[in-house]
Amino acid sequence: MTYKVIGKRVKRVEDPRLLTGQALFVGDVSLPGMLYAAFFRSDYAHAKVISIDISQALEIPGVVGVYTAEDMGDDWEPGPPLVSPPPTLENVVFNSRRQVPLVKGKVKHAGEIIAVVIAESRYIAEDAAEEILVEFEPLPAVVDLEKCLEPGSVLVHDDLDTNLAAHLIQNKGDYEGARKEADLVISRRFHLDRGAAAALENRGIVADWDEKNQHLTVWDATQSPIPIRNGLAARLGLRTHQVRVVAPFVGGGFGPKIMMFYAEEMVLPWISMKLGKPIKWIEDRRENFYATTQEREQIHDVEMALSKEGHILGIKQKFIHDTGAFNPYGLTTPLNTQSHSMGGYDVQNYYSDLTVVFTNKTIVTPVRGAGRPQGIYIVERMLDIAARELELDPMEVRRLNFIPPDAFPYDHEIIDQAFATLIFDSGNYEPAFDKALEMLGYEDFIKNEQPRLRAEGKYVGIGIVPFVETTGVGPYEGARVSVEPSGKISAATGVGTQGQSHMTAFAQVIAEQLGVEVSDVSMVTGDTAEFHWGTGTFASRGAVVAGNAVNAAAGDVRLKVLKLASKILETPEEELVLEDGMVRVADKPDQSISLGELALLANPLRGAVEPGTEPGLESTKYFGPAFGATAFGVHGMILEVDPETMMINIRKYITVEDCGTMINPLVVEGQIHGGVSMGIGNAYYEKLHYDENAQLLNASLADYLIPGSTEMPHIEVHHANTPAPNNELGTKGVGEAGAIPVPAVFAQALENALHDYDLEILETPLSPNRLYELLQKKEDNS
Amino acid sequence: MKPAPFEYYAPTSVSEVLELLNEHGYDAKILAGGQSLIPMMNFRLVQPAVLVDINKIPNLSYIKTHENGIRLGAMVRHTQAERDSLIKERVPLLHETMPQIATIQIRNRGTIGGSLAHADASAELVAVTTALEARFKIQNLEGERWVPASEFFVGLLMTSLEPEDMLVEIEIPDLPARSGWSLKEVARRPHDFALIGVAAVLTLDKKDRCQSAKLVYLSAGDGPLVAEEAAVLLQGQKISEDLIIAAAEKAATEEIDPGNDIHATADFRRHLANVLTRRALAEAYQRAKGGK
Amino acid sequence: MKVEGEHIFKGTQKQVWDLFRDTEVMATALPGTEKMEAVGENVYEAVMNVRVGPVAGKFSGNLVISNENFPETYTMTVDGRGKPGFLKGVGDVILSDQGDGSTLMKYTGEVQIGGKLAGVGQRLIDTVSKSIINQAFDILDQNLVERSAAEAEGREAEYQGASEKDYAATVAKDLVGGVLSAPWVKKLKGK
Repeated sequence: MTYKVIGKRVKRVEDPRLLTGQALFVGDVSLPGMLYAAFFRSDYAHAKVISIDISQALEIPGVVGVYTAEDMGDDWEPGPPLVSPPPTLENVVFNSRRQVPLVKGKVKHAGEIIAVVIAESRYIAEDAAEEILVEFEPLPAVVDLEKCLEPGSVLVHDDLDTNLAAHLIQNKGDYEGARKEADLVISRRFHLDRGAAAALENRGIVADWDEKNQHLTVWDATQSPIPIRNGLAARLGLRTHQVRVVAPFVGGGFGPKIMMFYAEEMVLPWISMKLGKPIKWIEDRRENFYATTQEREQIHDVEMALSKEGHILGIKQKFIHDTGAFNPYGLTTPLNTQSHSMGGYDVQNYYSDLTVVFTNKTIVTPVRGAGRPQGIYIVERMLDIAARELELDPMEVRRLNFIPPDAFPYDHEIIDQAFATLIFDSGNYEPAFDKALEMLGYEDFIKNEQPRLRAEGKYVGIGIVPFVETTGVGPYEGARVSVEPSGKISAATGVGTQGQSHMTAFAQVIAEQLGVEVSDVSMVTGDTAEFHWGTGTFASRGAVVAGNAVNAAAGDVRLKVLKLASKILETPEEELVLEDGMVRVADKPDQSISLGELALLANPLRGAVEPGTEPGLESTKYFGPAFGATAFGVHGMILEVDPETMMINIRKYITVEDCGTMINPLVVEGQIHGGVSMGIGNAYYEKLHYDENAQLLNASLADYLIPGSTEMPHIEVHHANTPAPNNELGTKGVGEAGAIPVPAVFAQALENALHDYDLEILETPLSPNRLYELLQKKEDNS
Repeated sequence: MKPAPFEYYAPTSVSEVLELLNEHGYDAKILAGGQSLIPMMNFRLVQPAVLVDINKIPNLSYIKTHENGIRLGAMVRHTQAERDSLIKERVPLLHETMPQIATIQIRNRGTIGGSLAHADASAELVAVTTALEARFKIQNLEGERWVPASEFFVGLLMTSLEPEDMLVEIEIPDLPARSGWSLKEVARRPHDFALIGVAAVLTLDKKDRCQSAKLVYLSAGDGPLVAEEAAVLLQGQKISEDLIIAAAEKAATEEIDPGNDIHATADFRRHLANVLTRRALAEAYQRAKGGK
Repeated sequence: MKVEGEHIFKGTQKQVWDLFRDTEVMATALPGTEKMEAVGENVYEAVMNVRVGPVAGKFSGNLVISNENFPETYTMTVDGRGKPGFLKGVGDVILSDQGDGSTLMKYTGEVQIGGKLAGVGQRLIDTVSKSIINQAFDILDQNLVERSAAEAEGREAEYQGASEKDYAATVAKDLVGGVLSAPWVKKLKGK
């Protein structure tokens, strides 16, 4: 299908406001009489609260109130269960434990809130929080993913007799049978560590209860304003129409801002209702490190059975996933790990045993990639090791195992976060893979470049990794599109915007349907007063699910426009064209009517509207896919390592991305750039260091190392296009893609660069210090 | 992350600063570029009752020649020093050091005097001024005194500045003829605190022997750490690869005292110190031979 | 965090043992100790105002001695809290007679540090704790000598305490290999 606007590199319409500081963030919200909150958080990761003394804090001038769990009375209850285990899975053990608004009895991770101070300024609130005296009885902390399951281990939740949060097994084919046929069976253990999402904007809330209107407005830096609105109404005993949640511009989401019902989200609206005053809280960076969710920590024991030609006969995997102190988000993340542990390969036999554990660490929920990077890491690492053992070209081994293009739709047989058996809708992997090899000059590098550089004493290596990303899952999203009497278009959808360029991309979809300029479309996202059905922005689904809802609504408006215009212009609909904000009779450009005039005619002030019709040129439509759209990509890098200092320089970085139809390639490239930077962080820089007491040792951006512009290589992006067959736009998600394969690419390239050392990398991230230790161990052994 | 309450003064002359310091003693803290102080105040790790902002004092950001060296006002910003042609010509080691400090944003605000008075053992300027045998002019109500770098830095975040003292000027002498220099450091990201770093200054005599050597480490202990025994090894000797290896080994394994933290173990830091010392000495030697 | 090390004291096992059980002496050895007193058998309460340059923090907590095996071994447990965070340490101390009138003290322990100190003060913790321990030993050395001298002369001992800056100077110079004649020692009573 040829498009006029979709697929064009349209500059982001939201940028002028963002770049000139005119966009509204929660931090910009300022209301008359507004009060400020600060929290007293536990330093201890695991401790009994013996007593709380707030008397000194209350004496500080400017303090309005101090609240503890006791003050909440019957209103105190844990957050709602957000995602339950898929009912389709059999024999699942799942112990649900959810975060609480204010600590009662026992602290379960550092940063949990003991008390809230409300004061006339944030300064005063923080001064007062320092004066709260809490007597703790510290308890040993649960930290280690394996030790916590040993008998007699300290328990995170005393009402459970175990730290087991969940257990399940997924099985496909007959792994043990396949193993018997194998020429090679390799097994390895992998450690994947925790990172932070570290959005530029931390969380923030302004809650404003208007007593006379009996109405609560909450500005919340969330990815999911609608579920937050619904949940708040339920918790606070209000009707949903009494609550408006606005997620204005949000400076990055990356997962942790999904509908979490964080303690602060539960407490501050409650206090605003008590006081009848607006209350503001902006999370600071230190709070963010303790209180905002994190991800990635898993330990895997993996076995792979192969034929001597390199065919994967089966994969067996037993892994432990750390969910932190609570598990409100169910099994989403580890299920994604399972659904990506076979990568884009046709593996007929797979056995996966998943254990999820509670620890006294910050809660784990999806972070950009959401379990997928772990799956891709282990399968790709195993393939590299297998290729070495079999003395095969690692790239050939991959080619050999790809799901072939004629096998789609491909039944993956594994149940994933969408609750249904995963089906890969479409794909064409090999050409994209070949393109990546070509872009990186793989053949030439191996044959000529690398030997030449080695002769110069340079340790330079190459890594190329293909990956899949399941995207665009349901349940549904909706959108409303209407033509204003001015001829401009107003539209709204329920998903919030945290930098995904929704205002531009969705406007392009509408502009395509209605023949208007992108700049004529005003798109509102993330305001329940504008649109209040939907779930939110997560799982790389905005362009797929909301995008197709927008497309459906705009398509319906187009039909209404054509119908009305046909009547007025006395011309059959087939002969009408929509362009430049007008409906024209094809070949008779002087016979036309503007969209604005049509909008006025569709909404008359006098006379009767025909029975069975609706006024206006407006439509609301929904889109809910039966299953998602599976994207594909290949990343490659050439890196240089100084084997004396262990410092690494990424000399070249390429990606081939197949996310189906692109609404805007600029936006896709931006997503990839951002994702790769997160992936480089996960591979080399970013690790949350918890000690044996579950104390976080790097709770600042001075010690938690995020790659910045000085660490980022230039990224060359090539687009492949295998449109998704199950949605009209043909889109697949790309929001998380960039982050997924990077640690696997990095490990492969680093091993390749350090070929002489015969190194095997089985962990991520890998710091220079850790690399030094691995090389030392090699030296000691030889 | 808001600071604890404090009184704020913005005097316009050094004498006013000295009066304030005299009055408030330990309770007062000078605010120069604020690139270390403000974050520490926001974390409430530092809670001065009185903040004396010296940014409004004129004439503290000069860079001028003085006899056999240059003098810098305490309020010279890092960026100013980085771009200064006199420094480039007369103190090339300092010129090379400047871009390795933190980020451009921090260098735009941070001051030379502030960094030195803060005395972070990971600060490049602390090690480099020690290697260059700089002197610091300190004023209080009773007068002024000059303190050499070797006596100025006394410990972790500690200098010989008394509560009533203000650092007003830094003097860096010219290096003798036939001197070479180098600053090598390893940091995770260019702007991070270095895991380890070394400033090396070598002077050769007419027969190409090492007349004097100075190796000063950053992030290797409580303050700028001078490897004296390694310098002794080099002194009077013809510089060779073996000698460089021996000196590096000595400094890295016996003289420095780096700590463990999440970024690097002491063991890795010693290893890096060894590697960097070799590289720094080799570069300094090449430059000394080049006659610069 | 693991801490371990050793130090030779110029005194007999018994003298060193007694020294460590003298709260007045111990209070002098730790910088910024505002209060240290016995509140029960082998249980002491302390308030310390720790300063490192401009960084300051007040800690209060207790110290418990257990597993005593006179004059060779005992276990020390420290538990403190302040606004910047908390610390908890358990350590075993072994005193062994060197046969020349001096005593070798070996200590091994685990120190847990939490809260803001651990979260944002990471890169300083190791160096600071090393400094504090080194300083404490140096002062204890001095005070052991004074204690023996006073005992011999039948007078009351005058113990010396550390000032923050002078102690730092010593530590810094220790690190660069210089040996110094303790200029940091100031008369407590003169303060």
